[in-house]
Amino acid sequence: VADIPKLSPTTILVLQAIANGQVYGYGIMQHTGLPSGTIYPILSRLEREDLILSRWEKRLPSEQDQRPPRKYYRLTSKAAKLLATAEGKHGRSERVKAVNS
Amino acid sequence: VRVTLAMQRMFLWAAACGLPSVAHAEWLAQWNSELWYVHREGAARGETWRFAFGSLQDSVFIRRYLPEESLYLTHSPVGCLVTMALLNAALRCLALPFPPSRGILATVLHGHVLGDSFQLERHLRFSATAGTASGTDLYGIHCSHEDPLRIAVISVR
Repeated sequence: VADIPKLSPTTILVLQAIANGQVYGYGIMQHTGLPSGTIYPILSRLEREDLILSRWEKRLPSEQDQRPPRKYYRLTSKAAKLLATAEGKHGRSERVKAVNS
Repeated sequence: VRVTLAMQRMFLWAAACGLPSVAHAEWLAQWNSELWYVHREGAARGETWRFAFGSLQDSVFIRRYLPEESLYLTHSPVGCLVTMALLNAALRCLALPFPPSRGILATVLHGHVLGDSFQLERHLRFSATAGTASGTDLYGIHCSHEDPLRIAVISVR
């Protein structure tokens, strides 16, 4: 239990956004209402702590679309368990309210 | 929109200069990509700038996270020289709108006003020197009503 990282309310919000299908940085920003200067450092840290995985979109589809490839994120099983624990402990809606206020 | 996007890309590039070399390319690619999508989704100009400014915070965070790595633009002597030259050019560009700065630059580059005598705005007369005495403090000052761009380097005794 000691090595389980503590999740801040903001981190939980980001994990919830990814769990809800927001898979890239700007989408997570829009979903959470947090600024880019907060979201991207959190994503970097979560990736280093093996709570999320990232992958670059393959070049071919985006080249056909004339748009740049994006970096996508998804939760690891470790993060999913942590998130479930955190949500069970504090209640998902209260957590979101706390962060938004 | 294109000009704004170009300026924001320059800002991202500048923010990326502080990153470790190993993280530089991917970090920049991700921010450039996301910025492109922010514009595509029709965000207001202020919002796009706020998004771009966030890159600086991210860059500082990563810099703290990977302190053992050398900076992207200072990991070699050539890189260091390029960085200094770019900073020099950027600072000169920033200084151009301010007339006294133009004068200082002109003085530094040409030094043709040294040794002359100048009337200051407050009607005090100073004799400009070239700093012949050791330990003399040299200052660039605004010298003349007639020629506001003219700057002298003087010694203050």
